[in-house]
Amino acid sequence: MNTYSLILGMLLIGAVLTTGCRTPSAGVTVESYPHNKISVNSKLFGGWMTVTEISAAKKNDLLQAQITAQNTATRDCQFEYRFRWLDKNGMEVSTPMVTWVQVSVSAKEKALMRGIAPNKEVEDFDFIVRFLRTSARW
Amino acid sequence: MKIGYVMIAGMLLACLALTGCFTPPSQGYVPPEEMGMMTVGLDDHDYDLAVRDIARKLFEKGLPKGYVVALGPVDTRECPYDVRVRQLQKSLQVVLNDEGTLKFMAAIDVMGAGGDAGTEIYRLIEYNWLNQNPIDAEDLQKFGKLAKVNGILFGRVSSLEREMSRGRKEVTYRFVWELANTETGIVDISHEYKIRKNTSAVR
Repeated sequence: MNTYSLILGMLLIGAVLTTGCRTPSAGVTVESYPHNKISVNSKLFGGWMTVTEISAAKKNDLLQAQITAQNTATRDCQFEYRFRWLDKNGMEVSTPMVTWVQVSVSAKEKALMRGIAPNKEVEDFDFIVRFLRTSARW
Repeated sequence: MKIGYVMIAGMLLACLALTGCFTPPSQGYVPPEEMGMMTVGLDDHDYDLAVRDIARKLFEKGLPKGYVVALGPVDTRECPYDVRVRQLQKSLQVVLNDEGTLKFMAAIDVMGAGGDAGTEIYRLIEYNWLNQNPIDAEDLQKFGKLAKVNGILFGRVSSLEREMSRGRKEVTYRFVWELANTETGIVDISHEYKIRKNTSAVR
């Protein structure tokens, strides 16, 4: 019985490590439609960084979004974020302005991440945050 | 004895899985918006960040519809690293074209529209910018009328570097942009963006 438990445990650890390494997914996502929705896809990231505020406003007819996240840990956190802009039909607006931006936040510090829509057709956005190091993404 | 083998096999499997984390992606194509391979020189991702930043500034300013921006001289003499000015210009052109209300072109492309007089004035403006002389408002206004542009975006890219421990290096790039209005002759936007990189940041 003990041997089986041991083998099972080892296989489980192996499987978790393998899949963890191969899925560099978003740690936390914020969607602005139909209402603001925060999804924590990684408990590790979610326990480290918490989205505290979502603001969106139009300036010169262009949607501006600002996400505030708090580093709740007692260690510095390096992560990257990006916005994905969507029109009123939920179709993605393709733009070279969508690029991963790297941020480093000190312990207990707040990070303000701002984005501006590439054109006037943009009505909504997706916001994705993930660890900078690929080996730390789950 | 058998349990010992199983344990060793399990440990090996775990070690293999762990080292797998540090191997490069298995597929040949990676998303272009990713950071990718990093160098202390300006890489593709840095151009994206620099363009994104100045474009954001121009959008926030809210320039009037139909405003034509010409990218003027970009002074890179205080940066010993290679700066691809043409790549910056073209990327910015694509971003502003997507926005819809702004038009953008490289000043070198609009020189033809201004004829010989336009070319001569542009050379004078370029000379003054590259030599850090004040830009003459009258030259700007003349060039604006001849080339039919509303603003000229001037750029300056400089870098500072320092040696770190264990032979590592840190480089700070500074992008300074100034949008001069060719109707009023004054600077509408003055903006700075910095990128700091070091060799230990290579993933």
